[in-house]
Amino acid sequence: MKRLLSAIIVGGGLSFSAASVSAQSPLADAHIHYSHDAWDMLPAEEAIKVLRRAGLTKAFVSSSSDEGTQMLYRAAPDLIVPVLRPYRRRGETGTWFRDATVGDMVAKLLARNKYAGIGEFHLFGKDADLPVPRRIVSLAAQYGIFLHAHSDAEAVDRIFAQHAAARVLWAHSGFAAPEDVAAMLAKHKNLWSDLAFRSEHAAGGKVDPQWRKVFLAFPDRFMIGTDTYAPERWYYVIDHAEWSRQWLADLPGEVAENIAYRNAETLARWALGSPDCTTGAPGTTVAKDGYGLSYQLEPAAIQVGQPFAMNISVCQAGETPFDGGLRVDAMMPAHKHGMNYKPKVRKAGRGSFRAEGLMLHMRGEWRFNFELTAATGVVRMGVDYTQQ
Amino acid sequence: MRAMFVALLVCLSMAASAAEITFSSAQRATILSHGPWPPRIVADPSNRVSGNGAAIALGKRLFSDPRLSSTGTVSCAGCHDEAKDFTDGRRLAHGLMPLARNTPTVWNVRFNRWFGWAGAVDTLWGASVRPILAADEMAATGAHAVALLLGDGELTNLFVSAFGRQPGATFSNETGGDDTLVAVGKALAAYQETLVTRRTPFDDFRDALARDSDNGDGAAMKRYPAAALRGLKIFVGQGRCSVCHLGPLFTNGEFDDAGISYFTGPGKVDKGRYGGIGLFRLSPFTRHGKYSDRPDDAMARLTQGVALRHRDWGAFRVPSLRNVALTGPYMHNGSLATLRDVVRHYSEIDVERLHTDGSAILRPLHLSPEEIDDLLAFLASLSDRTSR
Repeated sequence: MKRLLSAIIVGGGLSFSAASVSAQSPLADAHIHYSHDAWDMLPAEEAIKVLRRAGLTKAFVSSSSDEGTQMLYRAAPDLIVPVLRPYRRRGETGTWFRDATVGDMVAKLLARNKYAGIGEFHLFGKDADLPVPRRIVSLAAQYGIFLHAHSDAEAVDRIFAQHAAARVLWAHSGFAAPEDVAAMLAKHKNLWSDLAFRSEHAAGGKVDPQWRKVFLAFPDRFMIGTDTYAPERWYYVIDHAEWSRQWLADLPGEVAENIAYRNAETLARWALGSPDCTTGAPGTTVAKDGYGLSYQLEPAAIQVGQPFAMNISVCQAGETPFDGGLRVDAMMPAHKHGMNYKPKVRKAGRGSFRAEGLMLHMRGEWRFNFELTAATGVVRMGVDYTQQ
Repeated sequence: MRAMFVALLVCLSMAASAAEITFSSAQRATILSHGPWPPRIVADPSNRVSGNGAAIALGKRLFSDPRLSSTGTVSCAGCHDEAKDFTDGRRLAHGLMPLARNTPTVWNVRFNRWFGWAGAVDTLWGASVRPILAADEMAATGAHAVALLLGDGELTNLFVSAFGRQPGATFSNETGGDDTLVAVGKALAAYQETLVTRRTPFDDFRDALARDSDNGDGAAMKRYPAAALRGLKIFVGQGRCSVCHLGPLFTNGEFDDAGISYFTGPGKVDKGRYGGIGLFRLSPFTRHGKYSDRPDDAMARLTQGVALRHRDWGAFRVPSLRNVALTGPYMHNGSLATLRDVVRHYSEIDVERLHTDGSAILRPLHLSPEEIDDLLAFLASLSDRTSR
């Protein structure tokens, strides 16, 4: 990726070719909702297609209710960064912080599922010090995850006053002026800002001069976001990604890459708690020689003699995403034979793969074999599986 | 402050059965701002034949002439039917193929700044050319228009009278067909500029109020139906309808999200204003474009600078309310069959569909059935009753 980005730098300077950036560069979208009113018109599989068509490597998804997030996470664990919204329905934006049942609901879900954060929640001024938000901040600290706060500066200050080590993703950068955003970022080292539903920082592919100063001063603190607050806005994710690539191309390459995806991926990795993807990853996991792999079957309960697919995430120790290759096979050790079909594996993103064309033609004990082609050489892993 | 505000209330006399209705000085100013009607007529500087008699006659002929379409079956009047107040009465329009939007009336269209539900063009003549070329509407070409004009002696003569040249000849170095097509658009625009609604019961009431700055013209105002007066109170008061539906045209001429779904089918959305701005930026038929007869006036500079914002996604025209009671079905997709449905939609609007940091104008009013009747009576008083 680095080579690709370097290749499109024009004239040795720091500007990108807009066309190349628009066509190729990865993005992480830090502000997606998949709420109840989107599920009928846009089933999870279709929603994932939209995100992939936009060229996203990660999508921070929070939903009202959380079931929407879980549906997407099950469908694409490599892509979705699950964030727990403390709303059962979207209409609770103005009431949740006084609703005594919210804390228990959030605690139960945190115990049950894996999340990178809690939010996006709406919280302003002194309300941040009410008991319910205090418990949310405390739960985020307990689980080591971030808070995605649609808040004014005062509420953000109050959250950090409650827990100085909290990590806060400031939704819409508080709709604050660039100099005020800069002041907040300077004041709070654990504050990140998403740019969702904001248009004023760029127009016509050019970054506003005031915002440019802030982006350059805090290159590791901003993220982009669409905000799919109504079902139809899911289809804006693609246009928004194109729009974002245009203005990002007006920034120095390293800064553009940070805002485009690296900052979001770093925060997600911190929150999800492990440099490899075996800890807390959905589905079945296996690790070897510093590499981790998790997979989910599709369908989850595969039938003998019926084709199925695997969605696979591969991570490696350290901060660098896995960028190697993967082969997948299955065999029955007792019978000394494998499948009758050769599955096709395609890359779905950095460190994520999809294997299709698998079929177990007999009941009994099988073993899924994974062969990673890594920089350090070939790494083989296996997982036993009983086909009922 | 509140006491001072109350002290400024102006008491208006009411028809016999109505309870006393009061308007604040601000509301009274708002009522007066909805007139006078008709407004001052100014020729369109971008259209050299605006107000030209021969062009108007030519445009009127062409407006109803299906030969303008490639198949000889579709005319402008096929959708903009004068007998139906220049609509088609359908939920969705139908040209050569089914279309995704409702047919808006062309009453008072000359006063628009943008044209169509998404504002894809800023000239009436450009808006008239667009459906002629559109494959799903009339699917014609410039050459087709030239042939039509040259093949009909009356049309040829009108064209020569209006433009001082033969069809197919050029004003500039463009191809004759394209240049003639633009001329056809300008003739169609000249005709549509004559479609100005007449005065309404509301206009009489408004002017009576204006005649006496303190108490109004009692006799004239008493002729205004009591229910309409109560509806007007809601319109300029708690309903805050005048925030968007402002001025003599009862529209701000811009675009907004009214909480109406903009799915056009599974997996398909109407991008609304966002798409409209994209088309505008590509259109050659703009005020500042090469076909404009005054490409450097203030309006051309204004529209050329239109900003593309995230909120434009799924936003649609704020329509004029003059003759609104005669021009159903309603909304960009004709999804609301009656004006009562429209009032109910706004009265019980689903704020969850709107962004929490959007324009924040819309909120549920929870109007009673009687209040809905009153608002409908007011809207009916905006009809000139000349067309049906």
